[in-house]
Amino acid sequence: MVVTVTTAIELSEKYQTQIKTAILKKHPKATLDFVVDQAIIGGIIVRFGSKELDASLRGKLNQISNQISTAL
Amino acid sequence: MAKAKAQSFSETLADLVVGTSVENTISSVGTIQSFGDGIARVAGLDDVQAGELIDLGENQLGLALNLDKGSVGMVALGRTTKLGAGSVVKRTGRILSIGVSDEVIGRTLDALGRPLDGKPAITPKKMMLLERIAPGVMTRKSVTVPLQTGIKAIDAMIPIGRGQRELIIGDRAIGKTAIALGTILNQADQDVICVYVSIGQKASSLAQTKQILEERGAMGYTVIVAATSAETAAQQFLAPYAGLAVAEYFLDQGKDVLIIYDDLTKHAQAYREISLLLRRPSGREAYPGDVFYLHSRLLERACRLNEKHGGGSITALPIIETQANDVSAYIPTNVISITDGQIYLETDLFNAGIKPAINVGLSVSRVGSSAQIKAMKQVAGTMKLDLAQYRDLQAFAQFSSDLDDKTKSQLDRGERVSSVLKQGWDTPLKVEEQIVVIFAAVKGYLDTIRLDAIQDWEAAFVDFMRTTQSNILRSIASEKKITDEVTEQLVEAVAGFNTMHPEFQLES
Repeated sequence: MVVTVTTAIELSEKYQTQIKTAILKKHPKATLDFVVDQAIIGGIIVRFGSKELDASLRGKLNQISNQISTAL
Repeated sequence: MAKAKAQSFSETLADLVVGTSVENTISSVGTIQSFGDGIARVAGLDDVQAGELIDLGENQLGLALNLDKGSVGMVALGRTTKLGAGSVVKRTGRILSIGVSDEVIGRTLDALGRPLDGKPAITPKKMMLLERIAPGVMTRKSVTVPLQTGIKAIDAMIPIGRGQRELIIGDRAIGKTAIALGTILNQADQDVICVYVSIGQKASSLAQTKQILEERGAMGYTVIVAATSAETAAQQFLAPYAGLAVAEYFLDQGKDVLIIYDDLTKHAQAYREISLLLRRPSGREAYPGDVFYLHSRLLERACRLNEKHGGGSITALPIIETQANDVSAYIPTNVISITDGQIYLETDLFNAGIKPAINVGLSVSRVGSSAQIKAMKQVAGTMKLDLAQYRDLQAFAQFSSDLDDKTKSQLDRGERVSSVLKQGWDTPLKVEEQIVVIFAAVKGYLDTIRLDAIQDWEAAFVDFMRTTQSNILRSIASEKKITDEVTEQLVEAVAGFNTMHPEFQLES
């Protein structure tokens, strides 16, 4: 399974290895793919198969704006 | 002053932001492989459910229709401009549903429940699923309460009951929508909520319909669900189910609902379009294999429930447009076999000036007289027979001078009864008014009236009964049958009216 890790800035070797170890613990057969996308502003998005963990700044800002517009 | 306002504005904004809570979300996503004609193939979305709504971003939604091994076939609901190959879409976890509340009455909505009349969005009280399993056998009750359409020809000979499905079928521009609208207008005091579903119609027709309903005060008990021909095929496909979901909201409250699907031919065509784009195998006339199920599951949900389940009912009047009066085409035969009868409108009758152009011989109501009040049964019982005999003899009408008296009188009676059944589409008659008019016709009080004066006679007679003989009308309305006493009064009233108005009489 291909696991795609998207970050806004290029990650250093240290962080890349940390993430790799954490993911391989749960999915030992995974192959990692590191992508840099400035559009997510900050944070990290991890996609494994068809599930996506969105811990990016863009995602959080979207959540805030959605919650404010429904509150109004 | 402006600075203070700006200050309080930013404070309010800050409060709102502080009040939000964000979290890291795990969502099920997919990537679009191809997108065109409103259909997208999505890779991923491994655990999506059939009929689930997919978030396409930009507040747009899609519907997952085809669950294949490697991909999901998705239909975009609404115009999507920013989608392309590689776009990411998310599951919403919501099966296709529409938010309904009591304030939906008087509104015009689209197939997703969004307002089309410029007024604010509906605050949903309950989310109604668009696809629901029809009520089972043990929850239903047989149809016995009439749904009065206000149209003499229908209420007398092809009566419709609450909970029945009656098909209105005919060529284009023949009065199908007119019958449906006339029925809605007649429900003003009948405690029936009406849902008018417009599928693939012109926006101008819909605007006209809405205006008529507003002018006549019908919007106080009507909901319009519309997917005009400018909408996507997906919206046109969903509109009837959305209308039915709104109707079921009221059914669950124990109310009687009338739902009109105008029309199901365009609905089948929209479904054919989606199925072909999804590469599903096509069958007769290029319709997909499940086009029967498309309509049967829709119409099966129109029912009458027993007391234990609320006692409400949904009466469905689907409309089908035929080509050149061909009722043996694929979709018409499908829907005829599903419904509990049909009202068959014919072009020849329309052109001959008989409006509503109902062919009484071919039209049928399988519920029949169980849905008629006793008074109507008393007068209309022989009418169908009279008309059938008249039709048989009509070929000899051109030889009228060479016929024996009995045949001639049958022809005269038949002509007058047919004439009395003509009616303006927007002048519904209360059932007691219909009964007295039909009483006069079948008892022979019209035999001395000029044929061309029958419409005027009827208008004057109904007026006369409403103003001077309202006690007769009231008695029929409350007793629901014509007592012997009332029969005498009625005979007197009709004879008296004829004497008072010699201008309608034949030259003797």
